[in-house]
Amino acid sequence: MPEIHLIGRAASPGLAIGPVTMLTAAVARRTASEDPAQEAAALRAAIAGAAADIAELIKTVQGEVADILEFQVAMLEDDALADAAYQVISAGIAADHAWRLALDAEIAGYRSAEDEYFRARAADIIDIRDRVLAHLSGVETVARISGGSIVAADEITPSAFLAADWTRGGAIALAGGSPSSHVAMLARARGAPMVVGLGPLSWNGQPPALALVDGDAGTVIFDPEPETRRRFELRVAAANAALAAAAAGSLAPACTADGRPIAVLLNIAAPEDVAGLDPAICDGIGLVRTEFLFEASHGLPDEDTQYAIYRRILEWARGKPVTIRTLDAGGDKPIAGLTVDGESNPFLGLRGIRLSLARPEVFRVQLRALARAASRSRSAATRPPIHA
Amino acid sequence: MHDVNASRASKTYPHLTASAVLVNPVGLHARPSVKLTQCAKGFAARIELALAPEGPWTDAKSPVKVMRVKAPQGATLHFRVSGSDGEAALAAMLALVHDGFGEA
Repeated sequence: MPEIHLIGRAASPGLAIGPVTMLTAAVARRTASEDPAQEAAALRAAIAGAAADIAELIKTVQGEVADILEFQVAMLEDDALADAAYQVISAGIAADHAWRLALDAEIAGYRSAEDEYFRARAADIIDIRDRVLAHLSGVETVARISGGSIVAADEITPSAFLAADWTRGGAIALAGGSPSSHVAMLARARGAPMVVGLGPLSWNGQPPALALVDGDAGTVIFDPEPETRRRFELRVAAANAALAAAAAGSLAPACTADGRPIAVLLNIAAPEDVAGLDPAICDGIGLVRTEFLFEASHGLPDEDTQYAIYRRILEWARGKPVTIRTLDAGGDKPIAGLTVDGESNPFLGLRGIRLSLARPEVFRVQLRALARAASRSRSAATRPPIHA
Repeated sequence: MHDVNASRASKTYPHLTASAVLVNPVGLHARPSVKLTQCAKGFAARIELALAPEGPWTDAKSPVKVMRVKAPQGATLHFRVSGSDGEAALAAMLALVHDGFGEA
């Protein structure tokens, strides 16, 4: 069989090679009762069961993944999602059929959205639909993906993604899908290459056994010729070697070819930016922006709040130099209660150091907090933002 | 039943309206919708939102309905609120939108 080249859109970077797992929707059979009241009760129980499943899953994850699942729970707990289903159930339709009708209409609404982000939510609603259908029929319909395989499907739900083990490699090749989907976010976070929008995955006869996924270029090759595979394996090896070299070199001092040392300084906007980073990878922090402290929701921060945050950053740096820029408000960064509205040229207006000098009561608090933090560090410097 | 109470409330309390521009990157998407509806449910007032000052109005306590609005970044979100804690509810809605739902 000749190799099949498909071009799609890159959704998560990286190269992968592996056996193909085709995901096809599991069809569950269920015997409906003749009684609309019983059918409505069955649907209610299935929705509650699905929400409970996801709530259980949330306990095992954090951050972005938890947000994705919390969205699903919020949708399931909203009676508006099942309204149309209950209506057709009362007209004598079975619960599973009614639920599928209602959710397919919801999914069609998302698919027709102008905005790619909202179109990508279709996969979440499919996930919700299938999980409730699984509860209605009492079978497991979340597809199991074996680790290290290339998943080929029309779309993939967050549940199916989360049920798989991505630590052993593997990748995703989708006929549809979107780089804005929750699965694409998950794939990027887990380092699984992903290509979407390949178009219909149709095979003459046997489905493909092996695939090469290029999540950088957005291409997939099914059943490659030996020569194609060999060249791809060379690229994988080169990419792995480059990653290993980058990891090994990240702790070495930076210098030019003729040996002149170059300082590598980070540029951060909040203390979270350095969380999880080893300070040994850099020579210090060249710029800490402090605008994050002054975001509208928090109001003007007091001296102790600022001090605690500056200390945290200095402690992370373990004696390496840190330069903290005083508040750069104004221009494109208005701050309620501090900057001036309606200036004719705000970019050269009352901003940066000029604003700080005009509003010394705010500036003084920041300088005091900085001075206190710096007094306990060998290497802190402050510079004001000057716009000329 | 809910609707009976809501219409009674709207007779007793005047409608308060206000609008704010969606500043967060992808508009009123999944996470902001959840945040907004959770916040709205914390108030007794009837809270509705729309993309135009004349509606159509959507129940701000329903994530399913709020997501159906598909409000993109840069859209102006109009709120219409009525109830005993209407003023606080309106202020809380506006603060969430102004703040980019905490993800700016």
